[in-house]
Parts: sequence; C-alpha cells; structure tokens
Amino acid sequence: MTTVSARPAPQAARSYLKAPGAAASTEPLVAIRGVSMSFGPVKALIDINLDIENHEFLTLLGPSGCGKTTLLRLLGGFEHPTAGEIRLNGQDVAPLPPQQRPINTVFQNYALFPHMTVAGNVGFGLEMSGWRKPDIAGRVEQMLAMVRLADYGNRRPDQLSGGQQQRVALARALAPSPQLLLLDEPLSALDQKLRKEMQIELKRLQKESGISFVLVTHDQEEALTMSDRIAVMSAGRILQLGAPAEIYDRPVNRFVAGFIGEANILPAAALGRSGGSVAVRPERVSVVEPGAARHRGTVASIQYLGSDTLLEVDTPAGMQRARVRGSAGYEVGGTVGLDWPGDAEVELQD
Amino acid sequence: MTRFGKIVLGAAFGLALGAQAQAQSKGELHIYNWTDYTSPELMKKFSEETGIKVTVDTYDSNETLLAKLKSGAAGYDIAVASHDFVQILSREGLIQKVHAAKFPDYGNLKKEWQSPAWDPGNEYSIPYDWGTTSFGYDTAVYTKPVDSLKTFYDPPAELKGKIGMFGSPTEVMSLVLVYLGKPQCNSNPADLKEAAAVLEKQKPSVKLYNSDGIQDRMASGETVAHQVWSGDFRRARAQRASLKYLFAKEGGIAWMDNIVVPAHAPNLENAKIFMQFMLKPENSGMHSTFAGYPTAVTGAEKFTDPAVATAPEYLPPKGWKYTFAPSCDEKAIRAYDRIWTKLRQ
Amino acid sequence: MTRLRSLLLMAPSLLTIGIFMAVPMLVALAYSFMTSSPYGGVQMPFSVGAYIQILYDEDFDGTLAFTTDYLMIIGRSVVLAGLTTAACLAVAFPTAWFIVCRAPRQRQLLLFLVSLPFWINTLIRTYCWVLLLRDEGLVNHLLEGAGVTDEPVTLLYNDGAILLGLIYTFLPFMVLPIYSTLERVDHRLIEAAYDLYANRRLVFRRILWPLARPGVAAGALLVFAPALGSFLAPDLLGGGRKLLIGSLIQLEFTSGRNWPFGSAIAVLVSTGVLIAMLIQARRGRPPSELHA
Repeated sequence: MTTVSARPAPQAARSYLKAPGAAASTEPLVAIRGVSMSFGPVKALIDINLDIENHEFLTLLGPSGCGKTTLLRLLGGFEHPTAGEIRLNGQDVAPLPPQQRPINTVFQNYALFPHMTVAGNVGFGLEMSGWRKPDIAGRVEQMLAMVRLADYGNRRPDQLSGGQQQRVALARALAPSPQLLLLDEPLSALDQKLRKEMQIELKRLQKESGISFVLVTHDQEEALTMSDRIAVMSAGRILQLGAPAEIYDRPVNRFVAGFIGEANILPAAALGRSGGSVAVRPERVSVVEPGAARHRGTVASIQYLGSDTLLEVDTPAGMQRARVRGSAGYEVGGTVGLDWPGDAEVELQD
Repeated sequence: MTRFGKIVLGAAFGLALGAQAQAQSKGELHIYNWTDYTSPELMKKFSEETGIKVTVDTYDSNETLLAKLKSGAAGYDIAVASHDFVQILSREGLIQKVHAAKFPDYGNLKKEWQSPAWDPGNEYSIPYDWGTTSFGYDTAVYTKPVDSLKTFYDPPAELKGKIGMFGSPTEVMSLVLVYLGKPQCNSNPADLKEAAAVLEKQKPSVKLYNSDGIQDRMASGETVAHQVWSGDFRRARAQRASLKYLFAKEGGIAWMDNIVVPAHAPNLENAKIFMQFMLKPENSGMHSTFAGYPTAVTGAEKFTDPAVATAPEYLPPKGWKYTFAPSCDEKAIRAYDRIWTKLRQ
Repeated sequence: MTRLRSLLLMAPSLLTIGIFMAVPMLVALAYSFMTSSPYGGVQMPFSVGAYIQILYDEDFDGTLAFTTDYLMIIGRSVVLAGLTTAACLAVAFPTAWFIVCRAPRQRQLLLFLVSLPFWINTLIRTYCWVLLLRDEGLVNHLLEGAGVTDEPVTLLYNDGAILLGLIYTFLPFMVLPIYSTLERVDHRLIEAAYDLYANRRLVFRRILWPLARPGVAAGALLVFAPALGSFLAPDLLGGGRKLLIGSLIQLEFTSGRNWPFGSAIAVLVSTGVLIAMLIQARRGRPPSELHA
C-alpha cells in the first residue's frame, strides 16, 4: 500500500508560516480564539474557541445553518472573521488569503477543473507552488495510486463516476501535503454503499498521511465512525467538544443528547435528583417485571428493528423508549416495568 | 443641418402627416430626396391641398440614388436628381416620361431653364432648384482677399489642416478640373495625373472628406474652408456672419436638381400632381426658403425669404463662368475612382 | 422517418440561413465574376477581371500595373479590426467578470445598461462622438476649461478616432458572450484554484480564461467581422481620409460604379472571415469531444 511521504509544505504557503514545532510546545496545530463572524446582521459564529491537534480527525457536526461550514471557510481562508484569531502553528492566519495557507480543501461538489485531465487536477497545487515538472509527475502518480485511480491520469473529470471524482478531489487536496485538510460534506453526493466505503477510505488516508482532517457534516453516524473528536455546533456556537464516545455517553445538553443518537429526557425531579433534566439512552433501559421496577408504564408502540426491538412506554414521567435485544413477546397496551443503572443517567445543563 | 437633425425632423413630420392623410386618404406619394431638402411645411401644405399622404426617404449622393433605383428598389414616386444624372437615369430607363411641357403651369419656368441640355423638351423632369459649387471660407480666420481656387488647393499655412472636401469623387474631380482649366469627364492621362497631383498635394491640408454636415462644420468653426454647395454655405453663413463664398476667377461648377419620376412609380398621377404643385410660384418660393436655394420658377422670389432671395451666394458676378458638369463615361469614372482610392491610402 | 422529421424540424433554421446568408453571398460571388455596366450594375460576359484588379490595376493610359493600394486597404482594415477586437476583449472581460460577481438583480440592470446603446441608431451614436470630439466639442471645451490645453486638440479624423468609434460600437458584442460563459463558471472552481496556491494572475490564466474561451471566441468573431466591414466610423470619425474595406466596397457600389470589383473584395473578405470561423470552430470544440 502506498503511503504519503511527509513532504514539506509547498513553498508558496510555507514562506508565510513558521515550520511546525517552531512555536511553543503547548501550542496546538490550529488555535481558534474568540472567533466571531457576521454576515450583515446575521451572526454566523459567536465567540468560537477551538484547538485542532496534529494528526487528528476532527468533525464539525450540526444541522444546516449551525455555522460549521462558515467555520471551515474561515479555516480555508475563503472568508475572514469579523473578530478573533486563527493561529496556525502559533501565527495568526485569519487575514491571509487561501493561497497563503498550507491548508487544502475538498469541496462539496469536488470542484474539479473540467478543462484539465485528472493528472492536471491533482498536479495543479504542486505546479502553483513551484514544483518541478518531473517531481510533479511522480507525485501525481503516487497520489493517484493512493486513491486507487492509477490508470485514470489522462481522463477528464466528466468521464469519471461520482466516487472516482471524490477520490480525485482528495488526491488533489492531499498532493501538496497540507498541514490541514478541510472536507466540506465530502460524502453527501454519494449513495449509501459508496458512502460507507469512502468513510473507511477517508479514515485510512488520514491515518496514513498523518495530516489533520477537519470534516464538516450533518450526518451523526459519519461523525461517530470517523472522528477522533467531534465538535457539535448549533446556532453559531460549539455546544460540546469531545471524543465520539464521550459525546454519546455524556451529552451536555438536550440538543446534543437529541442530535446524536436517541435519548429519553426526564425531569430530574422524577428521578429524585436535583437539577433540570436527565438523559437516558434507550439501549441502557431494561424492560422488567412491573412489580419490582422503578418505573412503570403501558406499552404504546412496538417497532421491530431486526436484531433489536424499540418499545415506546407511556410512564408518569412521560413517554420513554427502550431498545431491547431480540423480539420478546411484548404487546401494545401491556404493562411493563423500566429500569436502568444509575450511571446511565446523564444530567443535562438545560 | 446634419443627418442626425434630418432623421429627427423627418420622424417628427412623418408622424404629423401620417395622422392627417389617414383622414382624407387620397392615396400616397413616396419621395426620395437629398438630405435636408424637403420642406416639412410645404409637404403639409401639399397634403392639405390634395389629400395625398407624403412619405420622404433620403439619400446623400447621386450615386446612392442611382444604385438604389438600379438595384430595383421600387416604391418611389418622386426622386430628385442632379442634371447630370437625369440623363443617366433616362438612358438607363430608370425614370419615366411625364411630358412636363404639357403641364398648364409649364410657362412659369424661367425661359433660360426651360428645355435644358440634359432633358430637351422637359420630357422627364422639371427643375427643383439650382446652385453652384465652390469653396467657402471664414474671413475672420483667413483675412486676406481670395480670388482663386488656388488658395484652397494649395493652401497657405493658416488654412492647413482646416479644409473640408466633398466625400464624392465626381464632385471633387469636377471642381479640380475647373481649377486646372481642363475639360470635364476627362480621361486624358496627362490631365488626370495633373488633377491627381493637385489632390495629393492638397491632402495634408485636408481635415476630412465628407459631404455631410458641412454647414455644421463651417458654422462651428470645425473647418475654416470647405468645398461646398452654395445653399449649404448660405445657411452656415446665417449662423456665422464672417463666412464668405468664393466666385473664383477660374469659374465654378453649377448644378440643377430636378424632379423626376422613377419607372414603375406606384402613384404616377400623384407624382404629376406634385410636379405641377411645385411649378406654382408660392410653392416654389416656399421650397426655396426652406432649401435655401433659388428655384427656376418666375415670381417665386416674391414668396421667398429675402435672406435667400438676395443671398450673395446666389448672385455671381456678371460673366462668371460656370460649368454644368455632365455625366461621365465609364472610362473617366474609373479613372476618378482610381485617383480617389489612391488619394485615401 | 426520424430522419425526415429532424429535417423538417431543421427546415426553418436552414431556410433562414439560406435566405439571409447563403443567397446574398452567392449573389456577391456571381457578381464578382461578371463585368460592370457603365452606370452601376453588372452584365455579361463572365470575367475574372475584378480579382485581377485587386493586384493589377489599370493605369490612366490603360496599361495594367501591379498595385499594393488594395492590399494596403485590406491590411489596414484587418489591423484596425484586430486592434478593435483586442481592445474590446481587454475592456469586456473585466466588465463581464464584474457583472458576473454582482447580485442577480444588479446583474440584470448592468446587462441592460450594456445593451442600452442598441436602442439608439448607430449613425446617431457615431455622430454623437463627432460632437464630443471635434475642435469645438465637449471634450475640448472641458480640456480648455480645466486649463489642460490652450487650444483645441485634434481628436477627430485620425485612426485613433476610428478605433474609438469601432470599440464603442462593438463592445457589447464582446461583453455579452463572455458574460454568458463566465456566468456558468462554478465559483468553487476559483476558490479551489486559490486553495491550491494559485494567485490572481494564475487563477485568470489557468481557470477563468480557458473556461471563458468559447465566449471569447464568439465575441471576437462578432466584433472582428463587422469591424472589418464597417464604414460608418471610418467615414464619420476618420473623416474619410483613409479608405477601409467597408468604405471601399461602398465606394465601388456607388460612385465607382464597379460592382464586380466591390463584390470581389466582399467575397475575399467573407472568405477570410469564414476560414477564421472554421479554424476557431475546430479549436474551440469542447474537451470531451477531443478525447472521446
């Protein structure tokens, strides 16, 4: 398998920036500090603080309009923040245009140059940053092999399938060895099966190249599968930042709990706790005999999901969902008891 | 007036006439005439008296008229052609006989203009108006007395780069030949070379070659001297009093424009009505006032603006030699064309 | 069946092209091989005299002599039309790009403004330039008023004035096709190019220009061909001091009374433009066709 050699950043970009490691050792690869962005009266981002570490796969996850794409465009240099700093290796790059940042982007619809061959596309960034012709050819070959398109160099983009175009876009963005790769909903145009394949492919490429990836998506499953860390965004703010398991197991608020996976939200008082509300994941809920159970209710609906069954149970604390193994014989209208371990209860901030 | 002005004016009175003629509907009359040459007021009077709706289309040279009629452009009932072209048009069968001598008011024509050389017996045409071609200049800029065309063909420093010439080879050549004292329609190589040499020598002093907008250029001072038709010049002088028309000692070119009826005119009878209308002194005078040229109708002066009737441009000194340049054969025309093309290299 | 149907569907356009393009050109071609009649028009017998005249003209004494006069006129016209095309391109490309970058509603307004001159007669517009540029015109008045010059600067009746008039007349023909190709260019391609370290110059050369080429080619043709045959600007703004092809053809059909010669020159120019079009059409084919 081909690996991506750790080539230095291209000349054009590097000259503006210190080499990695030159900054203080505590400094992350990218430090976003107090960044806000307004389009006229619309506040797209409000006081964002975020670090991006070396070699990490970070996902910006949120519904459309949450500001994730704006944040990505700020990183790419296509927009410039109204306030705040974006430091790359300790140096503020917020005012720099895209061509002066060692950061490359995979665009949502790939944005391949239609008048150039695949090889021309992949080599474009190298050519622009002053690589010599023979070096470009070698590098292009290497990149195409890496995305498994070794024989496609002479094709035109419009002669490729969607998945192939996607991989050309990746090869093109990775070819100049950027310090950071930005991916703007890269898999949204692919069908389900291809999307799964590309998720694995992307993760592999990130691991092999050692380059930090920042992925923007609204697909929570995509985020959970690929990311080292996820930043959940809503209404221009980062609500929670953490590893996928952490986000899933310890959502900080109602929005995060609901956006990532499913959650039963109960008033804290119903559980004899203080505070606002509590989230419990349906798969942590066990269905037990009504007599001994902490909560009791009537089965409102039964959804058979193959390996699992999802029950909706009407309890005094509201409608609760339980995800149980198999298809044990419950019936709608029957009385059941619900129980879960204490550590399944997550206190939410609001 | 300029082509621009003409278009605006034409559009304006075209509209006015249209409304009126629709009510009376006595047929139509399509006139093809030189630019700035058809009095809107007179056309209105004609329409009121006869109920005939008039439309006017214009051209800027005899050659355009010839080409247009020759290309088979039908639909014109009246055209106005210079004396030299009357002969060409009749010979080519592009105009038809109207037997003007039989019109009741034929006698209104001044004796000297009846039965001219180009149309014996006035079979095809009646005179529209007449004038001369020479140079005019601004006495405020060039103050010395001028008596010869040499001043403009071989100009002094004051006039260099400020002279305007006609844009048509035949008219440019005919006056040059008068200046040189050579016969018109010349195909003698020696004479042609001499004429070409005069024009070549003059060229650096020439600002432009264009027959349109002369009046405007002279009135605005854009050109200080210009080869010009007497009537155009009179109008320029009305705007700039220091302008003076030259009756050169070498003589000058004279011309007469004539009303003719194109072959296959759709409204022959209306065309004849128009010709007879133009033989009335009051109408002829009205035209004279508008066009600024004298006409050939006896008594028209009484109905003509005195500024036109007594204009110095129309009163050549006694014995002044003027030449009605005839239509030339192909050989001479081809030679003129060659001189003209070479001149504008 | 389908063949017949497609032929029928194409009939209106074929007829239009036939009547408005092929017929006049064939007439000109036929005329160019005939003999001139004394007062304009053509007559038999057939002759190639008109084409010979382009290179060998009759002298006053009737002998044929080699002449560069007409070649000079054609050359000058081609140079002037070429300069017009280049200048139009230089102005039109940024203009079209500027319009493309506006909000859709502003674009409509700007496009309307670009096409506004079409609503006014070309003769009037050209004459307005005479009024602006002449010695007593607005430009000279402003220059003198501002104290830049003491006496009128001659702006009219030279090649520069002709060029200005041609550029002014034909500029919209360049802006509109370039606009229509640039409008279809995905803005993300430009962002992608910047992202891959291209600077403004390289984004233009490597991305915008190649993608706009079909529009540029169409615009160049729409400007070059009519500029080559134009006679309004040369006559009014150039003062008729120098002949160009358009004025020469006009002259031959009017006072020159030499229709075959006028036709021969027209045929020569049309052939040249046609060949240029064919070359352009071959080069301008979309890339996928070249590689399929």
